[in-house]
Amino acid sequence: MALIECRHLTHVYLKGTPLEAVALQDVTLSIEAGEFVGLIGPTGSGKSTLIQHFNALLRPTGGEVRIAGINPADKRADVKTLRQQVGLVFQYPEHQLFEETVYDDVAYGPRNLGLTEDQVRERVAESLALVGIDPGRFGRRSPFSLSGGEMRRVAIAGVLAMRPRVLVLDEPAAGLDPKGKEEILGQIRTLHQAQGLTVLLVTHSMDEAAQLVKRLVVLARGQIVMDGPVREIFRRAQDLAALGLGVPAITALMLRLRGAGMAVTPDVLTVDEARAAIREVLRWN
Amino acid sequence: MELTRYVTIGQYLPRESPVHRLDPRTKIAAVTVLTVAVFVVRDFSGYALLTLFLLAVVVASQIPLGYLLRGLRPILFLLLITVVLNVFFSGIQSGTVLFQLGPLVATREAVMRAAFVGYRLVALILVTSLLTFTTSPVQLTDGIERILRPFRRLGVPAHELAMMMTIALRFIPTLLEETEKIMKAQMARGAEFERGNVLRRARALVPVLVPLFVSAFRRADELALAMEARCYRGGEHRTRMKELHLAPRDGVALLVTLAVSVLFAIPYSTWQVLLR
Repeated sequence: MALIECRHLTHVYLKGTPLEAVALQDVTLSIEAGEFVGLIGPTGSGKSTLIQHFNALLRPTGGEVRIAGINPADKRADVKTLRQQVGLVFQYPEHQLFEETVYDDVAYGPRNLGLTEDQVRERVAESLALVGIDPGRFGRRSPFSLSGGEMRRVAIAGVLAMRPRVLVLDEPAAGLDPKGKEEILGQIRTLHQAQGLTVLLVTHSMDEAAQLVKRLVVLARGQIVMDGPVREIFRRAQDLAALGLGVPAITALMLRLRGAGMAVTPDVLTVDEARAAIREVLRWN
Repeated sequence: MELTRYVTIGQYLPRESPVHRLDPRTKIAAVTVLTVAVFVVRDFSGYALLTLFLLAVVVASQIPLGYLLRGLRPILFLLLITVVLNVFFSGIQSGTVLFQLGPLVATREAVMRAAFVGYRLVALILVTSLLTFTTSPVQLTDGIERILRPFRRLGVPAHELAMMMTIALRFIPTLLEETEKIMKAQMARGAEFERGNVLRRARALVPVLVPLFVSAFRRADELALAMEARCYRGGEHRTRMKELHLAPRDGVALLVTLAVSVLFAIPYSTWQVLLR
């Protein structure tokens, strides 16, 4: 059984009022353990609504969700275990920091799990290290004295300290400078590769998706319109454009070269691949 | 977890109805008149007329009655206590005894009085929510500013008050959204807000309140900066894009409201004499 399963999932906000709005419509999706999936779609396509179902923060108004076999709609479902298994990092997670020290903030989740102070200390050190923050140097500082990128990493560490099996991140790089962006995304990749964490990355950026994920799910107007390996999705540049989405800059460049009469393959996601493709056409090998 | 589902106060429902088209000043004046009327009315005939009039306005406003009544939910408890207290402790000693609970006696008169008091509360909520449902916050504060303008000579900062109200109203949904988001983020880290005793629940709110205050101050700062960057200097010499204009329909609406309010206040006995 897949780790995350949605069957005909529908969600309607403010149902039964004049302000009701359909956010998700008949979404069927399954994510296996160990996958690195990207979720992409224009603003208002239902991405945030969808990921909140994975943590039982929203309950389906139609259809069914199962997370690690647990159905949150079940009255006896163990929501606490479910929330521990799925770590949800919201957009701008640094806005949720509240404690006096970085250490205490990261310890908030483990303490809620009722762990002993020794176990808490171990988890705080481990998760701060995972996001590249030195617990000795930063542990006693106020989270509000950190830089934006550091605050965000501390907030992500707060989620990692729950030791989730799945990490769901909503636009983790939004609003950071290029260096901060690269650091965060690099650490997420490491988490997936070294820790074997299942990762679901919600993003607007096609370049991020191309660099990181293996499988891409495209959401539009509350429905899944594409789902497949990242290369296959980016081959459908025109369909994506119709949805108001683009392709990665490097893929776009290849398409322009083709438009100008150079027979390169458009099936390119990285600069290295692009170089190889151009060399091949020019017969420089 | 949908906070906005339960908080309907101050919500505006855009519709193309005659009530929506009225000038905000007319609506504020009509609400004031009706509020007075609600307190003046003393008997069933008056309340029946008032109910009919309110229903007519609700139908004209195209706001679903059920949605309007939902606004009563937060005060349901208050309503219940008011009615119970009025039944047993109204101070009415004489009258027909209806039932008795130990030392507590409920007379017919007291029950009637309690029903009236309860209905007054309901009517007040309905009248005021009709105003907010049919008037956008911006229109509402514009109206208040215009009404207060004559008092500026007495030192009432009409424009500043209206601006403060606009900003406060504007941020209710934003802060609700923010609260919801922070609560969810902390719930994802294992927080529980509905478990344990009062003390534990209060303590559980700290991780929500601290980030909420931080972000409220940040938003206030950003807004002040943005206003200053656009050279906002308060009320002097400001012109507005949409001036309020009273139309004939505003006069008609206000006159009708005044007339029916006088009718409500006529006691039943007078009706009997008048209609003979």
